[in-house]
Amino acid sequence: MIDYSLYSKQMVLPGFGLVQQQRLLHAKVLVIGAGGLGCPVMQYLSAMGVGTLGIVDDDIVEKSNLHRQILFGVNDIGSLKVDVVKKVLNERNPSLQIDTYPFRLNNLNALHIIASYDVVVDATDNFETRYLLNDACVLLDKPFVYAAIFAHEAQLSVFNYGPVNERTTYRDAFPNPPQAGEVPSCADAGVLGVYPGIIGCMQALEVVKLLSGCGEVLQNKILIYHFLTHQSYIIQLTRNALIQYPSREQLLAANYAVTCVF
Amino acid sequence: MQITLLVFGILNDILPPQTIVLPLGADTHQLQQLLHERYPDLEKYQYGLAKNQQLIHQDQPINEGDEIALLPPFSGG
Repeated sequence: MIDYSLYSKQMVLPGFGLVQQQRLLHAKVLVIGAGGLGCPVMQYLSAMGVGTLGIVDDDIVEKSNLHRQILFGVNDIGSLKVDVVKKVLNERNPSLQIDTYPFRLNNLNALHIIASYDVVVDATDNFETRYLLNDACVLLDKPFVYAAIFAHEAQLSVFNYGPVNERTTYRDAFPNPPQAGEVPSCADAGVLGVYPGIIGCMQALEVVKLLSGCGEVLQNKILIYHFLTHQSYIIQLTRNALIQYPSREQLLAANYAVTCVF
Repeated sequence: MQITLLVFGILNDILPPQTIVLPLGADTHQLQQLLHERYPDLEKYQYGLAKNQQLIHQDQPINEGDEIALLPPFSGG
């Protein structure tokens, strides 16, 4: 029995009502990465009533995570992130289904895991996983909501969504991954705790728009947001005819740690 | 002719946003050559190039007043 009073304040909004709420309740969203972006994404999607959340992450909670990974506290240090997330979110909204995958997404498990979800959230911190999930989502025909942060800036987009012949993916913007060390991660470049909170919430909003049909989804565009000035810049994306995607067999045989090129 | 260059992400460590004067009839390839001459480290990075907020996949002519943005990949999450 669904307790709709949990969601009453969002269901009175113009453009978001019972039908949109039911779409969230029946949806299955897979979040890759339970870090700075993954925490706010999961916190809001669960609070707003997304019925099933899957979480993929093999990390344990570290002290240096706590300033931005707001589902964790000092007592969780050393625990598996996915276990803490499941416990915290289920305490807040017990009707949620939460599936945990306490390992890294790789080319052998990606297709199997992603297949049973409607939307994938890219909350990863590395290019190997990002290119893998991009290619897996193309093979499986799943939209994925991307965000990434560098220093005081962030990028946001919804890839592989919309009319089939117009859809763009991460590879249309960045055909090949950078060299190792070319683009520092948050751990190396630094990050203010609130940055992934802001962009993670925008990522959660894109998931809600996608699922509910309320609003305009950020497809075929990359939003670049500057935290210190609040300036945003949108770049339109079109398909790059030169991009080749792996077949299922190529993906299963690939080593994304070495090369993401097909 | 004069154009505006915007720079995002780690590329801000290599060059500042600026206005650039180009010979009439220049294209994006010539702009990149000029930038790589002035800022040799830029060649070490992968980045996309957007003309008037549209990412381009091949060289395109540049016109007076165009806005060119250099967009590198971001990693952190």
